[in-house]
Amino acid sequence: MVHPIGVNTRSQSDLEGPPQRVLSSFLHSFVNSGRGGIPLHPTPLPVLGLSEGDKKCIRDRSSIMARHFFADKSEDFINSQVNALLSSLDIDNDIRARGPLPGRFRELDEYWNESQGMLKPGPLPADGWVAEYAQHRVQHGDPNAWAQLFERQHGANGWASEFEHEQSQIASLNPMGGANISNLAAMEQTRMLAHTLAQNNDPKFQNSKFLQFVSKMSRGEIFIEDNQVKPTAVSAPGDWATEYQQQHDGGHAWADQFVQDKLSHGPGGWVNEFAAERELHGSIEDQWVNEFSKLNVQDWADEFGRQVGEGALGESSTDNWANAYDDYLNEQVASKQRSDTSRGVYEFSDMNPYVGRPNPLKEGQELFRKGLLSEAVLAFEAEVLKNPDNAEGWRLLGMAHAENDDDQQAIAAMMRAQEVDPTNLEVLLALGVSHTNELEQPAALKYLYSWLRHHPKYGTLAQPEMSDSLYYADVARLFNDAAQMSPEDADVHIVLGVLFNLSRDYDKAIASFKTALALKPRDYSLWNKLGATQANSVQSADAIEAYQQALDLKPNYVRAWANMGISYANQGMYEESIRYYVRALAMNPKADNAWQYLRISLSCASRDDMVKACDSRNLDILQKEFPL
Amino acid sequence: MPVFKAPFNGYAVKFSPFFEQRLAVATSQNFGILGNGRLHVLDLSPAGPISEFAAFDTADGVYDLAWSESHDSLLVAAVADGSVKLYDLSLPPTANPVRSLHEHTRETHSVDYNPVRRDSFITSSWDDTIKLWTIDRPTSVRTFKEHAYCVYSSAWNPRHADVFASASGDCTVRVWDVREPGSTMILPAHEFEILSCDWNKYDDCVIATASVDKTIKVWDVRSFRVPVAVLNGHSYAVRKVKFSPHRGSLITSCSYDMTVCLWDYMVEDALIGRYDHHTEFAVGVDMSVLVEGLLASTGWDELVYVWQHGTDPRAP
Repeated sequence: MVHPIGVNTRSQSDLEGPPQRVLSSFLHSFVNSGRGGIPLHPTPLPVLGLSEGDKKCIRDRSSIMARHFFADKSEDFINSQVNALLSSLDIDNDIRARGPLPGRFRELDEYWNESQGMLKPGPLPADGWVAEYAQHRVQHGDPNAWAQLFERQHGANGWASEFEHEQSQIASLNPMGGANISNLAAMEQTRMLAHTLAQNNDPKFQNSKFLQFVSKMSRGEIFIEDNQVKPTAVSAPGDWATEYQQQHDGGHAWADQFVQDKLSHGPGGWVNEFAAERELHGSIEDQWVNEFSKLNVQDWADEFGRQVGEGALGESSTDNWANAYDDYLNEQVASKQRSDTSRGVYEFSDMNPYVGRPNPLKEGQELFRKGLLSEAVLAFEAEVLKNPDNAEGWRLLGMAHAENDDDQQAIAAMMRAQEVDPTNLEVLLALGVSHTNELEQPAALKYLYSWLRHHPKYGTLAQPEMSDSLYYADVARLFNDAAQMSPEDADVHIVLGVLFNLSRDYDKAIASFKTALALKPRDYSLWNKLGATQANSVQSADAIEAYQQALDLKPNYVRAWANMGISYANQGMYEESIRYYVRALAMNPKADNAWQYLRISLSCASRDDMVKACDSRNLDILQKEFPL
Repeated sequence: MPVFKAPFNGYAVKFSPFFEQRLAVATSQNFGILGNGRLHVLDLSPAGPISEFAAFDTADGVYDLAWSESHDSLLVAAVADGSVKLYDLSLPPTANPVRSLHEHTRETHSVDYNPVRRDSFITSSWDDTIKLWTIDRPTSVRTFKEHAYCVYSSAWNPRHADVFASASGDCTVRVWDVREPGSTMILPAHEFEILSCDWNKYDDCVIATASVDKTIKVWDVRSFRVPVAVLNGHSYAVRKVKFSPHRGSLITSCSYDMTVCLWDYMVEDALIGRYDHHTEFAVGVDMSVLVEGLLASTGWDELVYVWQHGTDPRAP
C-alpha cells in the first residue's frame, strides 16, 4: 500500500466542514423541544467549525422559526430554547439581527380602530379597490366608474401614510423582546414545561425522531454518531462559466438562454405567446388594464419607468434599464475576453455564496485558519472574482486547494498569482511543492530554482545561466548551500525535504523535515509530510508517531487518520488499522480509497462478518463494532 | 399512492399546471436552518413509483417554488440566501439556473406566479418586503415595503392581474394593487403571526389566512370587519393554506401538528378530511389543477406523498 506522499497536506477530498450529523441532531432536538415543552440542555459540543455566516443563519432562522413551533409557549420559554441551542453550538446571541415580534402591536390596534372610526362614514374611501370590486360586478363594462374611483382614491390616501408613519414609530420603539431575560427564570420555566411532555399522548409525537433524540440527550447519551461532511456548494468543475455568467454578468447568460429558448420553441416562443394571448383575452377580460390606460398609464411597468424617471422612487438611474443593461453586458463580455486570453484554466465553483460579500478575503482567511478548506476556497474565489489582480487572493486560493488535495487547481491558482506578482516567494515555493506532488520534476525544479533566485538572501547563490537547463542535482546542491547559509530557515529545509522525496531519498528527506520541525514544531502539515515520508521508507512505527503529532495539532485532519490506518496495516496490526479507517470515514464517508483500505484490513483480520457492512457502507454498525 | 423520499427536509410541493403527472418539490437541509437545498422535479407514472425528472442543487435551502404559468418548463425557486432562481427544464443542467436574482436581503420565503399577467411573479421575504418581477428583466420591477416583520407568503388574485395579498409576521394581511403606491387594504387578521394566505379561485373577494394561532380564517374583502369563517382543528401553527382549483368552498391546509386537512368553509362541520401520514411537521401541500381531487404534500420527514382525496396517502 503506497502512502500518499503528503508533501502537501494531502487530504483525500473535501474533508473539512461542519460535521453535519451532529448539527442535524441538535437542530432536530431544538425543533422538537417545542412539542413536548422539554428544555433543551446546553450540551457542550465538539468544535463544529461553523463559519460566522453559518452561525448567523442558525441564530436568525432558529429565532424566527422558534416562534412558529412554540406558539403556545411563553416568550421566556422560546428565548431559553433559542439560547440553549445557540450556547450549545457556541454561538453568541448578543447580536440579534432579527428579534422576535411578540404578539401583535397592541398600540397598532388602537390606531387601526381609530382610523377605521374616522373613516367609517362614506364608502370606505381608502379601500377603493374593494369598493370597486363590488361595483365592478354590478356594472361590468362601465369603465368610467373605475376611473372615477381611482381618482377619488388617489385623493384620499392620507390616513394610509399616516398609519404607516405611526407604525414605523411604534416598531422602532418596540423593545426587541426578552434579550435580557434572567436565565434562572427561564430554567424554572422550562422545568415546569417539561411536565407537559407526559401529557402529550399522541403516539406519533412520542415516536418522533425529534423527541427520541431529546430524551436521549437529556439522559446524557449524546455522542457523535457519524460526522458527515457538509456537502459544500458543489465544487464540481465544468460549470463555472455558466454560473459565473449568471452571477456576475447575469444578463449575458440570460440573453443566450433567451435566444436559445426562442430557437428551441420556434419563433412563437412564450414571450410571443404571451403577447398574443393578451391580445386575445385582453379586451374581454382585462378591463382593468384598459381602464387604467385611460388614465394615460398603459401598464404598471411603464408607470414604474415613469416614476423612476421622475425620481419618485428615489432611484438615480433615470435612463431606461435596458440601455444601462446593454452597457453592463458589453463591459462584462469585454472583461471575459480579457480573462480568456490570459490563462483561463482555473475552474471556479458553480455556486458561491461568498460572491457579493463585502470582504471575502478576510472571511476566507478565517475559514482557512479554522481548516474549513472547501469553504475557504469559495471565499477566495469570490475574492479573486472581485479583485482579479490580487496576488495574495490567488495565492491563498492556491494554498487552500493544495491543502485540500487538489494540486491541479492549486497550480492554476498559483500561476495566476505568479502572473500578477512574478517574484512572490511564497507563490514560487508553493508552485514548486505542488508540481513535486504531481511528480512533474522539470516544472518543480524550475519554480524551486526561481524561488532561490528571487530570494533576497539566497539570490546570489543562483547563477542566471542555469535557468534554461535545470538538473536535479544542481538544484539540490544550491539548496544545500542555502541551508548551510542559514540553518535556521525552516522553508529551506522543507524544500530540501520535498526535493529528496522527488528523488526517493527518504532518509535525507526525513532528516530535512525533522530539522524543519525543530524550527516549526506546530506545523501540522509538516508532521504529515514527515509521517508520509517515514511510512514510504518503511518506518511505519515512527510514522504513527508523526501522524499523532499532526492529529494533536489538527484533530479533524482526516488524511492523517487514514494514514494512521495504513501505517498500522503495514505493521500487520489490522484490528487497529480498522479503527482508524472507520474514524476517518466517519468524518468523510466519501473517501473511496479509505473504504477500499478498510475492506482489505477487514479481510486480513478475518472479520468477514463485517465486510458486508463495509460494502453497504454502513458506518453505524462499523462504529459500534470498532470504537476508537 | 406513490411516495418519494428526498435527501433533505421538504419545504414546498407544487403540481405543474401543464402536465398532470409532474410536480416539483423544494427541500432544505437541517430544516432550513443551515445547509444546502435541492429542487426536485418529479414524474408520477401510472401504478409505478415516482421518478425524478430533474434535480437542482442550491447553496442554501429552497423554501418555496412556483411553476411558470406561461411556459411548461420554467420554474422559480425561493432560496434561503435571499436569491430567486429560475430554472428551465428544457435546458441541460449545466445551463441552470438560467437566472439568479439577488435583491432580497434576507431569506426569500415564498414565490407566486401571476396567473393572469403571465410574465410576472412576486416573491416575499424575511426582509419584510415583497418584490415584483417580470421574467425579462434582470431587476425587480417594484418593491413593496410596508410590513413591519417577515413576509411569509404572498398570493396573486386569480382574476385581477394587478392585485395580490401578503401575509406577515406583523399579524396583518395586506392587499395590494401594483398600480398603487401603497397597500390598498390592511387586514389585522390574527392575533399571532400569519404564515400563509390564498385567494378563492371562484370568488375574487374571498381570502383565507393561516396563522400561528392554529386557525384558518376566511375573509371577504368587501366586508372584512369579521371573518366569514374560522376553521379550528389544527393543534399547532398552520403553515400553509390553499383554495381548491375545482370547488369554491374547498380549502386544504398543512400544519406543524403534522397533519394535512381539508375544509369546506361553507358548511357547519367544516373539517371534512384529515390526513396524518407525515411523521414530522407538514409544511407543503398542493392540489392538482389538472386532476380533480389529487393532493400532494411534503414535510420535514423528507417524504413527498401524492394521493387522491379520500384514499390513504400511505396505501401501497
